[in-house]
Amino acid sequence: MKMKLKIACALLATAPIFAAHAAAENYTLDPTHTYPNFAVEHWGLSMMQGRFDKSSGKFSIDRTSKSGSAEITIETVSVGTGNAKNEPGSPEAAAWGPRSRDEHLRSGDFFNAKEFPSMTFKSTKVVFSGDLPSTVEGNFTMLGVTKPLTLSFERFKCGQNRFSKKDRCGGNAVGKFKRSDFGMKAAIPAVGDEITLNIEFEGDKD
Amino acid sequence: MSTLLDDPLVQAALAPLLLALMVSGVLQRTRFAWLAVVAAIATEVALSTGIGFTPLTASRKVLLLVLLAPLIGLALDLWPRPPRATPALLAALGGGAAVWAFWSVLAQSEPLQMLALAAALALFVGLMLALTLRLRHDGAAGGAATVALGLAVGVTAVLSASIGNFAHGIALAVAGAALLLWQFTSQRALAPGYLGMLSVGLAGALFTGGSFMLAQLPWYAMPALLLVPLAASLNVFAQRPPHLRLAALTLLCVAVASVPMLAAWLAARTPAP
Repeated sequence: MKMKLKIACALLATAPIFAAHAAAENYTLDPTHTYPNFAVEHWGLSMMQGRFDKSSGKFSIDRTSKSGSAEITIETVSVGTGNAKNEPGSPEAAAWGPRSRDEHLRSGDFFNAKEFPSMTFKSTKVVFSGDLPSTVEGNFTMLGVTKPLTLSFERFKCGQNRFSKKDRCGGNAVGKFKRSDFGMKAAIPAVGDEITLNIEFEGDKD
Repeated sequence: MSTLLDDPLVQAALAPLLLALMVSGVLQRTRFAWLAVVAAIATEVALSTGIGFTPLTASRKVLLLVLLAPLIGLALDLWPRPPRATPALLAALGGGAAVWAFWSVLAQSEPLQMLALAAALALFVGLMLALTLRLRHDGAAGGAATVALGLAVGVTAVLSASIGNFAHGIALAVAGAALLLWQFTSQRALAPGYLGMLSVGLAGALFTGGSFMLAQLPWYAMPALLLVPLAASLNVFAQRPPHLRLAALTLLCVAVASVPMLAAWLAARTPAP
């Protein structure tokens, strides 16, 4: 009897561990519904928008322990701002030369895609507000430089993938940083130093 | 003042020209006048992106080598009798330095492609150095080659989507123009020595290497660039008065520089697939 009581107590003591483990939800980013976007001031006029078409990563949340993690790898060569190529004889080529903005962005002056094919964000801490994450703190690495970056979840919702019926979460994570802190100093101040990063993301539960 | 210094024209051309004129003017009676080349390039970099070496990216390695070149050149100029093989040795070292500078990009290729790229890069830089070092005793030829090479480096760079190397090339060109101007007005030749032509050759070759490795310069523009120092070494105007020879050589070199520019322009105009 005493032994049975001891075993029962031991099992009860470990229950939170199992509960916590069971509460951790792991998601893999859906590359066709995850796009890091960025905005930067151009000539003091418009906020130019661009995005990276290729990225991959994962995230996890644990609503019981109010913790989580996130990691995303962004392919720099996939940068696009709507000006992929200035075709010979086109008005764009006449106005801006034969090389397009996107070609410039991939060059050594900006994202240096040939030397640094990817940039990453890896979380160190997820802060919750109620049952949902509100911010994720982590380290952003671009052009070989790593700096702290905090992303705020402007949106974080969970539901179901209507095709696979898997649990799915998604939202928008937004943060700001100065590109000069990472060594990207070309064309400042004509092209702004401050970058707003807005990662639209969705992922199915593993 | 800050708005003026933010102007790309000031950063790439006016400020480097001013500094090159000052340095070469003050030092024209010494063997250090060709420090104007590194002074112009350093000014341009300091104004545009700032001089820094961490992390040591390919572009920063190139800048480091360009800043070290005049020190090596000066040491050789001060050496009473440098070995006859010095130009060949410098060419080989330059080729190796280029591979070191762009290793972070080369290492991402498949092994065979990496070897081919590294060999081509080293060969290009080595040949550029070998050809430019031949001009080290001739101020007029050296100056003409510097102007033309700088223009070619700059124009091919901007046609290859590299603004940074465009600015570097223009700074190199204006440095050459400053040195030519002093020679023209003072009627005194300013022999470049190893100091001058090692700076010019290495800068021109590595900036071009940057446009190739990090931007979209077509490979065939690189051998075309070798025509510039080759043209400067031709003895076609040797019997002319110094002023005429200086002007004619410069025009010839700039005309030859149009060949790599044309190559880069044609590549840029290739329609998207």
